[in-house]
Amino acid sequence: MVEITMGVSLAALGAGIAMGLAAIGSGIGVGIAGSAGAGAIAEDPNKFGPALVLQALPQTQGIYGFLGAILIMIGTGILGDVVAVPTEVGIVLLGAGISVGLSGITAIGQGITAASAIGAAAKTPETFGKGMVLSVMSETFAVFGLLVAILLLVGTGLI
Amino acid sequence: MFQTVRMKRLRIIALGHYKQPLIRSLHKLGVVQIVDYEGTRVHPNEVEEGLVSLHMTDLDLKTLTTQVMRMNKVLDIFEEVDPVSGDGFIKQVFRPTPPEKVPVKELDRGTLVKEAKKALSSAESEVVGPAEKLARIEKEIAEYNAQKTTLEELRPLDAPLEYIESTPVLTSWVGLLAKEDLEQIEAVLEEEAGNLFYLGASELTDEQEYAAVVVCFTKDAERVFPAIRKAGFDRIDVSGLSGTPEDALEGIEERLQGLVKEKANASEEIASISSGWRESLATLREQLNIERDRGEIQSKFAKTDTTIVVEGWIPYRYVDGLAQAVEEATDGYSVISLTDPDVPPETVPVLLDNPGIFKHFEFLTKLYSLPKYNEIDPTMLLMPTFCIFFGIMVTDAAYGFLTLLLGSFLAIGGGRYNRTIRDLGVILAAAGLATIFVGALTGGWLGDFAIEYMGLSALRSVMMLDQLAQVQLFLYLVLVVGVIHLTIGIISGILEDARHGKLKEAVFEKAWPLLALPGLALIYVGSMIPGVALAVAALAILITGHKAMFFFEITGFLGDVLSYARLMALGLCTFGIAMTVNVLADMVSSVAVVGVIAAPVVFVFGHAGNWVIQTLGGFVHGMRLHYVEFFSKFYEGGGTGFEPFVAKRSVTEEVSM
Repeated sequence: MVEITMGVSLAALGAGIAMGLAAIGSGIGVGIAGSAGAGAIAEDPNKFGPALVLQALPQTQGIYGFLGAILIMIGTGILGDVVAVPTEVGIVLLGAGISVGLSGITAIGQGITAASAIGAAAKTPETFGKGMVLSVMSETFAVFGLLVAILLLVGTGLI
Repeated sequence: MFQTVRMKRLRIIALGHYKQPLIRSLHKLGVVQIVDYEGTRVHPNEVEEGLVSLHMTDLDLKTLTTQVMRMNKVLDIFEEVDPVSGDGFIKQVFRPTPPEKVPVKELDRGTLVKEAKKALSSAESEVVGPAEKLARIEKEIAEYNAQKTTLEELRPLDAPLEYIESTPVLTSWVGLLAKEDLEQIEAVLEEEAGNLFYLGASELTDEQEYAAVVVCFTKDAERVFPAIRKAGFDRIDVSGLSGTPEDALEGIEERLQGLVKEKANASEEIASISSGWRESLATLREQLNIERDRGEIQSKFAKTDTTIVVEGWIPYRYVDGLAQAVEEATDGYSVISLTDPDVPPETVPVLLDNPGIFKHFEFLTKLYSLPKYNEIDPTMLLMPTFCIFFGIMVTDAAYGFLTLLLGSFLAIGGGRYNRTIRDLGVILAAAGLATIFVGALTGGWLGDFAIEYMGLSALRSVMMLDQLAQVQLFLYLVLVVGVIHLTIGIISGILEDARHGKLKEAVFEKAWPLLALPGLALIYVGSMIPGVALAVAALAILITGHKAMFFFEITGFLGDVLSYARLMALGLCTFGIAMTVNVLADMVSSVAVVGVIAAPVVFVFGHAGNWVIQTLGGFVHGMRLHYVEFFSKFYEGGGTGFEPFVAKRSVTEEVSM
């Protein structure tokens, strides 16, 4: 069991922000795409498969948020081995959490693209793969956010 | 193996006399894709140009099409009145009733058309009377229902409706007005009609409206009506109705009941006719459609004075069978010439050819895009990693077992007659099997249920990675998996380019990670000199290949690798939720009386829900990793499928009696 110091508390705050904000992004993004999917299957229920796959693309940012939160928890001993976490390090981890969390908002953009890709795939099935590639472009920045968080964790020696 | 089926460009020249038997034979064989005659367009040839002209369309087509349309009409009437009851969704997917095919003899076109004509006239004559009656009854019912709606609104009004009309002296209207508009309407009437009007309203309806009659002198009507309408009087057209609304409604109700009974009788009549004719009409229709296809294909042929020319594609393996069939059909009066495809690869039709279990994974390849003719067929590369990734993302042996069961039941149930269900079933079964292994290796048996709650610590012995305790290791492992996967993709891409003679560009564009990764690994383990050398070489190739964009290449690659982190995240997710379900069930079970019942419910529904979500997630994200990160390294797609000229039979099967 880890001792709840100020550092650990701040890190936990970071973990919460990471997951929470990323969840907002993914939730909205998946929702936007899902609404396009509902429109597609209203016209042709057979399009459910491709619509479902495209709708799942904005989930990535939520996964990254989850990952970021887990890594922060591991680094500070909330999960796993006990570690001594000074307050300053806690603030660094807060920053890591913010990095992942805010970059998770990119899922909204991804959801908008995915929604259009669903429309394209419903009309012209050959565009399914290309639509997928178009949708994941927004993810690049979420990846950067995760990368920054990981680098912060590595840099402070916690991972 | 990694290639699409080799195609041959085909040309058959046969004596015109044998046109019909040739078409029939090709249609039955079903291995040739017939294309529009191109002949001299692709290979200019003056001799040929002089001799050959395009074949005209089959004159019988019109008759055939008309007959099919008539059949559709009759069968549609049957379907409306007495729909064929198919299997419900669950039954269709797991235990479908085997389709029954009617055995039919080979008929020549003339006989078929005659038989169809005979059947059609009999069926039509039987059905036309009852069908018209039914249509009439339904129209009456609709009219009465419309009247009913109108009258319902006017129900409170106690005025005989036949007097609501326009005579030379008086004009009356009937309609609805809202409570708050009454005063204003009265005011308007006073203004426009002087005092020469009558406004009689009923009781307030539920919607706070009055049903009212307005009467005024016809000379004022033109002024009055727009004014009261503007003030809120909602006129209702009652032309043709008589009696008070109350009375009229009663009468209509009686009539409607009678009509409903009549409709039922007429429907029964048609249903009994349908049982007699349905099967034979459906059979004939299918045969007519087949004849129609045979007629339509002729417009793709070319001809000379005495011969016909057929061009198309045939998979190499079927060539011998074709030669024999054509020989037979044309009594030897034909010539077949085969050439290798010498047109742009995008135009050559594509048929996938993967052995055994891989065949079912073509479903996933096709979902993305068929390969072009000379492109690699990625299905065999896709299958093992798809299953492994699925396993890592679900990481629970019990869930894997459920997936295996589901897949197996689908494959042997609905999959017996439906190709897509069979493919899906096999994919799920294979993925489920992989999940069982990965689950066992990571100690996931309904989360921590088996090991912690049931004390089956023997299962620990197969565990190689503790998901929760060794999260970092888990992460590094999946990143390594990602790097390996990407490397396979890059190497495939370079090999593909090499095959098309673009090796040099490929190396400068794509090969840098192949040097950078070992270089970084060497630096990491301390072997500096070779490591740095490789890294520098990688950088050199990278900058040469991409110039200023080299930075984005690096970040792009990094992004691709990190994308594989989702394998670990999703796997952990499954385990975490499963653990939570166990904890919840445990908590509920300690509650006094209901605990004994409630706990298993929580347990079952919790794990079932987790299983569904994680399986879906594993499937979708597995696909996504392959389509976006993997395929983009070496696969383009964009091929068109091979569409053979084949007889489409769903309700008949040909037998030689």
